[in-house]
Amino acid sequence: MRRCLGDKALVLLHEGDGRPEDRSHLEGCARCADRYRRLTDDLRVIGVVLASDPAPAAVPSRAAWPRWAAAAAVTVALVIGLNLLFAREWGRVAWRTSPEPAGAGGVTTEELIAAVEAMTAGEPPWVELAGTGAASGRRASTLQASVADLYATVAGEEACESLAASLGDECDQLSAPADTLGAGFEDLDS
Amino acid sequence: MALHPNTQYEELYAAHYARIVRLGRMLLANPDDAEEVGQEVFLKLFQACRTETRPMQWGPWLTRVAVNACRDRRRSGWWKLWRESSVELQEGSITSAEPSPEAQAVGRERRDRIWRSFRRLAARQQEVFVLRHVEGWSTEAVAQALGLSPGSVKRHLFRAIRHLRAALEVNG
Repeated sequence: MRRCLGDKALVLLHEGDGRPEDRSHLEGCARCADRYRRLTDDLRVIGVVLASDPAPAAVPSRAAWPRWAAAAAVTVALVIGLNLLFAREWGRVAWRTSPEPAGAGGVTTEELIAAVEAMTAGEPPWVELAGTGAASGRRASTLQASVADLYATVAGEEACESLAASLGDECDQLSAPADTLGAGFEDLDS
Repeated sequence: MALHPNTQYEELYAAHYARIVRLGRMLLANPDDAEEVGQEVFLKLFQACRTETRPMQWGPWLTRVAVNACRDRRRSGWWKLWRESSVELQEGSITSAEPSPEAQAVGRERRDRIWRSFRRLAARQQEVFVLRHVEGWSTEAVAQALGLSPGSVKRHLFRAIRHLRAALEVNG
């Protein structure tokens, strides 16, 4: 004799499907017939209960999330949003109110520009600064180093550009301003 | 001879409104939502009665529109989840109003267990089970109405039955 039917086979038979051999087994097996009868009864009871008025209202559905989960999600989203908003706003205010960012050694961009302009026009500013005390001397050194860095950077970039096309005479021209950086420091060294 | 649209609508309203609202209450946790779905479905029926000239099987049409409306409502935004989750489960409150005599014979605790179990089914399983075993549709009709294959309907049905029977079998 065949093994007893599984639940799925019983449901299929109840739905009017299922294999002919399962149906013939059902007709010959008292145990399976009893299970089939119980399935039919259960489905009738469930159908009656669900169809009976009124359907309940106060049963949480599967889709219902816990209240705390929704509250937590909203809070997290709010915190992230406010953080982003204020970070941007504070960044903007800080940019507006803070002084010009100082370069290496505390030299501002404005000072650097003034130094380069003064140097190309005549005497570099550190010549004047060097003679006014130890602190000013250090400042003069810093300013000089910053201008030297700037020229070195510009020279490097131009050299790279010209190298890409062809090696020309630009390198000689670039080194010329750098030579003037030492002007006025003969006195400092002594 | 074709009925006047208004007459046809009134007849269909009288014959199906209670059934459609009951269907909505089965598929949605909130009775107010079920009422709204009923009104929405019958508004569509009113419009369809005026525009549809072909003979129609209005009963299945109404059921299909109601099932779709319930599904749309379940998907309509996070606030709906919030609203559903705010409905607290209270012992003894599930079937508080008078059920049918047949259902009364089942016993309150058992009815509560069935409803609890039904509410925990996936939406698709609920729809399939209701259409097949409460509305009494064939598997093929359910498949067509829900846009599923008959095999898929049978799978959903088997899972729903297994789950619901498990609820019945707890303490008999």
